[in-house]
This record gives sequence, structure tokens and C-alpha cells, in this order.
Amino acid sequence: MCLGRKKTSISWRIGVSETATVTTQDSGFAVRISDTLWRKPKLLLVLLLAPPVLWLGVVYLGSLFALLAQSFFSIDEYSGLIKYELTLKTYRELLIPANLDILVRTTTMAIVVTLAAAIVAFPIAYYAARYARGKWKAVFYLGVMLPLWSSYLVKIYAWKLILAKEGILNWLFDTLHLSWALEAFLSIPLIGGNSLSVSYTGTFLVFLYVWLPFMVLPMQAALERVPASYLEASADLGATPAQTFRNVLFPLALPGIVAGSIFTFSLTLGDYIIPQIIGSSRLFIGQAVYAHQGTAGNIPLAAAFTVVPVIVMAFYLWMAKRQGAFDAL
Amino acid sequence: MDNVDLQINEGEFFAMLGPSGSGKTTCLRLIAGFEKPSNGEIMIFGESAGEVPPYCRNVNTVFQDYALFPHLSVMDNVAYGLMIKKVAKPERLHAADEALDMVRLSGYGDRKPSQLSGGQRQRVALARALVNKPKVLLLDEPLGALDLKLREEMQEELKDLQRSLGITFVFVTHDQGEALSMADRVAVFNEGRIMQVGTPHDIYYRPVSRFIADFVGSSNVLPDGFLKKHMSRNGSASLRPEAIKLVAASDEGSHEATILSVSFLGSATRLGLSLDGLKLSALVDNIQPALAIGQNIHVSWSQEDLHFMEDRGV
Repeated sequence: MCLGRKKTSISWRIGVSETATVTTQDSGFAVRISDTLWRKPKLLLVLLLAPPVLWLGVVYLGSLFALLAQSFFSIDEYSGLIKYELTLKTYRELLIPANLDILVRTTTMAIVVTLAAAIVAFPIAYYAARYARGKWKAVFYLGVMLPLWSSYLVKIYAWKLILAKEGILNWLFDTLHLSWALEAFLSIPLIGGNSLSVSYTGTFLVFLYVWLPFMVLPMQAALERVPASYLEASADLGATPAQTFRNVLFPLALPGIVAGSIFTFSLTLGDYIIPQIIGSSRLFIGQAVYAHQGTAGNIPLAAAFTVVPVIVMAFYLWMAKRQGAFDAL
Repeated sequence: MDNVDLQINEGEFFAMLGPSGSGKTTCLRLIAGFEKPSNGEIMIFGESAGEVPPYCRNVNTVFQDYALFPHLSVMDNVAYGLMIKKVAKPERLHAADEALDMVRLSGYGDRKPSQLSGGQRQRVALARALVNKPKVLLLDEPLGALDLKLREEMQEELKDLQRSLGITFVFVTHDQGEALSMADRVAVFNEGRIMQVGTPHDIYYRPVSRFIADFVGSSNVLPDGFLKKHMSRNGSASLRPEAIKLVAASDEGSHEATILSVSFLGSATRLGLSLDGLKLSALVDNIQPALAIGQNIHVSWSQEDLHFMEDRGV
């Protein structure tokens, strides 16, 4: 109950001659709630935190542990039914050469996509943080975010058309009389193929395009926090621009780069649509999970496959922390 | 900036004084090499420096925000310039140790800049610049972020340091007291131009323009009309607040004035006076009979205290 909120009217004198009178209503239900919450801040905290804790704790972490548990069960080869007893049989199955290939392929792709995204994103993020002001900053955000507004599937099919043998990229190389260069590139084993749209290079390009905003934005946020005076101070102390980059800019941008790489890395590890539509039809982890939990009905193996990205990410974060990536936070 | 012609001598403590936006910081940044002159020339020890990037100049800067690298320890910050010059590790750590000792921060080498107070950070910035043994040290409002007591201490320290090292200090400040107390010579900036260059004494007692008289120590300016009426001469003159004396009504040459305001400053009392419609500020001793707003008093000043100036306006 606030002072002066009682049904009585209060008057006070202003200056010498004027008298002001204020009459207020009795406090309503909403006011009583805010009064209670103000007196008991812990209650407010509990009320605010309950939904996210329930969501993250029970729904998300709960299903994650259910998944982890599934991976320690196994499937009966004859009946196709799940045997609910703890065993490492499924993990042994995960490590047969065919499955190991899938793990190595996916992780390598995630590493290459992340490195390329970091290299492509840095100049964009640096420009946005250091030079873009006002209208140009808006243009930057729009340019980076705009691709996120359209459907993921539409973008991937658009890329399939761009990269296809009859696509615009081939036409461009043709027109510039550079077809021989593209042919030469496609004839390189592993990264080449019949056309870009059925090669690892195609998969890589689409991954890079789709996840790039997730690298640019955290990087830009980190660079934004580096005042120009740090770079000037470094130059003032005799450092060339390259030395300033190595000794000041890069270490200070590293938390942002790591944050961005967590996105690009884990999103690539888990995606099952891009490699299915664009690429050499060899499986990635996501596709393997999809196949095993669906038609094959091998939930334990699907679960074991899902555990791999979790372990890879945990290892990556542990390494990043050990290397001091978060020291500048 | 326009028409800035400045010669700074070797080994002197030079201050650039002016209100914000007057071009003093730009001038410092030109010397450091962070800005390029669109025309005109900068010579550092006889060498033209207009197109020389900052990392090739033998000058170092203490930044207004100190610009200490947050990811490096105090020691690594101080040794940064030597690390860049590829000085061997033991040598550069030794030199950094000495520099930290010089600014009385030995033993703080392992800390991060975020663990230091404002005054300590300022001294680290100083050590980081001085460890490179620059020919010129540029200081951009280095004391601006410190509280009064610390600022006075640092003023003394900077002066001692400059005297013992014998290198040229170029100091940018908007605080006229700081400029007058520390510098051998002062350049007063306004609106991108240099208004006056001279010793602190010159600038305080012989300001060349109304702006300087007002900006450096809030002098009273007696305008043309006033001088004509009371002294029958042209031009304008500056009169220091402390030169105005309270006198008895019978004194010859005294003027009657009305007290508009009284502020007790501790060591003295500042009076706002109205003299024949002209507003004056006077600094008088505290041992005065009680003065009240609205009271009429008599004031006078000696002719020597009046400094006549060719009024260059502004």
C-alpha cells in the first residue's frame, strides 16, 4: 500500500496561497500484486525463472539424458526389438569403418566450414564494427540477417540450381571461357565430382552460406568492444598493422570467434538436409541418425550417433578454454 | 585546423590548452601520426613526418583512456613496445621492471589492468610509453579521469619525471590550472587556431585577446566603452579578479559597485560585482567585514594590473 493511496484526501499547501488537493482510489488487485512482489524479491525471481528452468531442465536436458541412456541399449538382430539392458555393443557398432567414415567426414566438414566462415566473416564484422555508422550499420545488419528471413529449404534448392550442371555458375564459367578451370577443379578427387551440386565442394559452399550470419554477428559484437585507441596504442608502440592484428585485435576478437564457431561447428555437425540435397550422397551424422531412427528402427545406434557431436563440442569448448579463448571476456 | 604554426623545443614541457573541440587533440594526433595533415608540414627533429605511419615515429603517447590492452598483464603491457621490436625476453622484462619501478608500481606486473585503480592504470600507461625511450612523449588529457587529490599528486610526479628524464613532453589539457602549473610553455587553442604561445606567466598576465583573458583564469575584461568613460583611452583591458581591492569610499579613483553574489571558496571569497552595469568578478581575502548581496561597496585597482590588449575578438 503506497502512502497517500488511502481513500482519504490529502491536501498540502504550495507556496503561500495555493492549496492543492489530491484524492486517490484504493489500491486495486494489480497494485497489491506488485506490492507483494516488491516486498518479496525472491518470489519474483522464482516466478521469472520457473518456465525457463522447467523447459531447459526437464524438457531439454531430460530428453538429452533419455537419448544418452538409449545409446547404452542395443537392438536384437533377429527380432529387431530393443533390449533394455546396459551394454557397449552399440558403441562398438558405431566404430565399424563405415560408421567411422561418417563421423570423420562430418567433423572434417564442420572444421573446414568453421575456418572458412571465420576468414570470410572477419572483414565483414571488422568493417561493421569499426567503420559502419548510422545508415550503413543498418545496411550491414539487414545484409547479414536478410538471408535468415527466407526459408532454409528455399535457399538450399536455390543453391542446387546455382551449382547444377545446367546452372548459372556453369553458364558463367562458359561465358568467360573458363570452363576448363571448373573441369580441372571438379576432376580433383574427393572435393570434385560430376558437377558442383554433387560434390563436397557444393556441400561446403552451401554450409558456408547458410551459417555465415551466425559467425558474423558474434564476431562483430566482440570487435565492437575493441576501442580504436587500442589499435592506435599498438601502432604508437611500434607495431605494424599485421603485428597489431596478431597481438591485439585477434586475441580480443577471439571470444567472438569462438562463440561464432560454436554455432557454425555444431550446426554443421547436426544438419541432415544440406548434405542430402547437395553433395555426393555419402552420409553425414545427421542423415545417419535420421535413417537409423526412422526406417531402420535402430534407436540405440541413432542415439549413439547423436552423442558424438555432443562429445566433439564438449571437447572443442574445453580446448578453447584451455587455450585462453575466453580470457578477454 | 588552420594556420597552426608551432615550434616545440627539445626537452621542454609543452602544454596545449584549449576548450573541447579547439583542435588541441587533433594537433597531438598529427604529431603521433594518427591523422594525416591535408596540407602543411610536420617536422620531428628535423625530419618531415607527414607521411610517416605512427609505428615508424620515435614518439609515444599516453592516451586519455590509457588504452591498456585488457588481455595482457601489466608487465606484458609495459613490455609490448620492446616485444614488437623483438628485444629478447629477459632484457625486455628487465626494462619493463625498471619502468614499473620508475612509476612506483614494482610488484604489480602480474596483475591485469582491470585489477588496478585509475591512478595506477595511468602510471602503467606512462611506463608503457617511457620504456621505449621516446624522444617525445605525448600526453592526451592524461589526468582527466582522476580525482582532484590524485591529479595534484600526478602533476608533481609528471613534472619530476620530465625533469629527470629530460625528454620533451607535449601535454594536452583543457584545465588551465594544470597547464599553467606544469608547463614551461603553453599554446592556447581556440576554434582550430593557436591564439597565443608563451610562458604561463605571459599568458596569465599578458593575454593577447579577450578569449585568453577569459579562458585562462577567468579574467575580467573591461570593454572599449568602459575604458573610454573612466580612463579616456581606446581598446579593452583585462583585469585579474585578485587585482580588485575593496577600499573605503573616500579613496581616490575608487569605483562604486554593487555585490551580486558571494561565494566562499575556502582560501578566499569570490564576489560577483556590478560596476556601472559591467559585471566583474573579484577574489578577496576572507578577513572582510560581513558582505551581503545587494550591498554597495567601493573597489579600486592599480594601473599596472590592467593589461591592455589589441582585441582580436572571439
